[in-house]
Amino acid sequence: MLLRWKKALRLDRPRIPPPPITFDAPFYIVGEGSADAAFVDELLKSRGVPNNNFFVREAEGRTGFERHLDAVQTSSDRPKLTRLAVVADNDLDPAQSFASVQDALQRTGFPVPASPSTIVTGPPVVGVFMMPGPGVQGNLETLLTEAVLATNPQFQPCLNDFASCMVAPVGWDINKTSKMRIQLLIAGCCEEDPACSVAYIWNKSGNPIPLSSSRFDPLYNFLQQIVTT
Amino acid sequence: MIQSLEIENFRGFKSLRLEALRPVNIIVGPNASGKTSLLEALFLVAGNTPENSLKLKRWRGLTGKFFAIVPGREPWQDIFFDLTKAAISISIMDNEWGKRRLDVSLGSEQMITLPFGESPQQQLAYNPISFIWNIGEKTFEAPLQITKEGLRIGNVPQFSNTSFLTNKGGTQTENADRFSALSKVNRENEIINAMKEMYPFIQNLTVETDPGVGAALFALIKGRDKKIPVPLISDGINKYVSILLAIYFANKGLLLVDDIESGFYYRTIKHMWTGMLKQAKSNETQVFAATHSMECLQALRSSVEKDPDSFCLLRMRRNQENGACEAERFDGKRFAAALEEGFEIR
Repeated sequence: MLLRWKKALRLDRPRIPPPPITFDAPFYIVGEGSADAAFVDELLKSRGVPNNNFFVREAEGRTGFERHLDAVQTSSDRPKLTRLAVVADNDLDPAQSFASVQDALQRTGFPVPASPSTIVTGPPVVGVFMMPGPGVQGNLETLLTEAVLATNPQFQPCLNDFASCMVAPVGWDINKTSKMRIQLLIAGCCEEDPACSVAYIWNKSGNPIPLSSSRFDPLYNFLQQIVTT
Repeated sequence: MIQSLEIENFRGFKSLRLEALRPVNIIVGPNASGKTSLLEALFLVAGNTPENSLKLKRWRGLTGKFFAIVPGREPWQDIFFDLTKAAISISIMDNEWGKRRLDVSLGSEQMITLPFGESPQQQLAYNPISFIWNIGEKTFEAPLQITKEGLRIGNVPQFSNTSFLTNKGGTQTENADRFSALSKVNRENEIINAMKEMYPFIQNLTVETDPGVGAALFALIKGRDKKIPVPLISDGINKYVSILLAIYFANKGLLLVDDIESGFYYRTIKHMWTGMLKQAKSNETQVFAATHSMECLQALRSSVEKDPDSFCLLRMRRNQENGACEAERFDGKRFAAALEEGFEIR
C-alpha cells in the first residue's frame, strides 16, 4: 500500500543530486543561516559589487560553521580562496558567540581574528563580523529592524503599541523580539507576500528593508576592507 | 596497515610524502595528476618482483613483447621521473611489518644480442636495472638473467598480499584462480552470498573450463539453464566479483583499485561500497581506490560519516611549474564534511 502511494507520488524515484558546489570567486563569505547569507549577498549586489567577485553560502546555524569550513578546506576550489569572511549573530552572549566562531576557524585550520571586525592577513585574509554590531546583543533581524525604523521612524510607535498589546512578547529576549518586529514590518509593508521570511524578501515588491541604509555601512565597509587588505 | 608512504623520482613524482594513511584511502584528481602512479608505487614496493613494473605497462595498455629482443634500459625507463637522477626510492611504514623500501636504479646500457633464433647456452647476467628491497634490517635484490627459457626475474620475500585492479577489474585467469583457491578451502559461499546480496538474480558461481575461453568464473543466472562467463553478464558484475576476490586474496594486505566506479550502474555504487568495505574490514585489507566520479564519492558519504577515522581523501595534482605530481591529504572528518555540504572535491 505504502509502495503504491510512493509510486503515485513518485517518491520511489531516486533523488537527482544537485551538482557539486564550486566557486571561482576569491572572496568566500559564510553566513550563519540562510537569511544572513541572502542578506549579505543582496547587500553587496545592491552596492555594485560584481557577483563574480564573491561567493556567499550559509552554514546552517552557528554549530554548522566548523563543518562548513572543513568542507571549504577540502573543496578542490580552495586554492582560489584568498579571502574569507564569517558573518554571524551575537545573540544574547556576544563574547561567547564570537568565541564559538573563533573555535570553528581554529579547528578548521583558518587564521583566527582576535576580535570581531578585525582582520587577520593570513593567508587567507580572514575577518568575522558579528551582527548587529561588535559586542551588541541581537542578531540579523535586530540590524534589519533598526534599518527599517531609521528610514521610517513613524513605524516605531506602532511596533511598540503592538508589542505592548500582545501578552506573549512580554519578557521575550532581544533575538525573539527582533524576529517578531521584522516579521511585523514585512507583514505590514509587503502586500505581495506578507508572510515572507527575511531570507526571501529581497526581490519582493514592498520589501521594507532599505539596503542603502547607513546602518549597513559598518558591515559593507568591513567586507570592503577584507577585499582591500 | 601502511601508515606512511614516501616516493622519490618515480613516474610523475619528484618527491612525495604521505602520512596518516587510513584503512580506506580514496584518491581523486584530474587526469595525469598521479592517481594511477600512486597505486603503482604501492604495488611495486609491496610486491616482490621487478616483473610488476612490466605488468604495470600492460595494464596501462602497452601490450608489446618487451623482451622479443633483449634491450638495455629502455623497457624500464618510463618508471623514472628524472633519468639523470640516481634512483627511484619508494618506502612504506607498516604498523605490522615495519619499514620496507624499494630502491630502483639503472645499470648498464649495453644491449645483449643473441644469434637469430638461438637461445643462450648459459645464463647471461642482465643488468639494465636493479631492484633492491630493504626490509627491516635485511636487503634483497631480485636479479635479472637471460636463460634458455627467456628472461628470468628473481623474487624477494613478499610484503603482504597485494591486489591491483584496473578499471576492468581482475583478469579472467586471476578471478578463476582466486575463486578456485577459495573453493578449495570451502569458502566460496562467502563470495557467492555477497554477490547474491548485490545481484539477487545470480544463483551460483563456479570455475569452469571452456574450449573457447579457458578457465573462467561462470555464473548461473535465474531463468537460464546454462552458466555464462561472468564478464559476459556485465562489466559491473565482473568488477564487483573481482573486488571481492581481490580482498580475500589480499587478506591483511593491500587492495589497489583504479577507477573504482567504472562499470557500475549508479544505483548499485552505494551497495558496492557497503559490500566492499564490509569484506575489507573483516579481512583487514587496506584499500586505496581512485575515482573520477562525484556520484561514487557521494555514495560513500554515509560510510565516511559513520566512521571518519577509517577514511582519508588524497587529492592529486600536477605542479604547473615543475610538472611533478603532488598530493594533498584530508582526514575523514573533512572528507565527510565536504560530502555533506556538497562541495566539489575531485
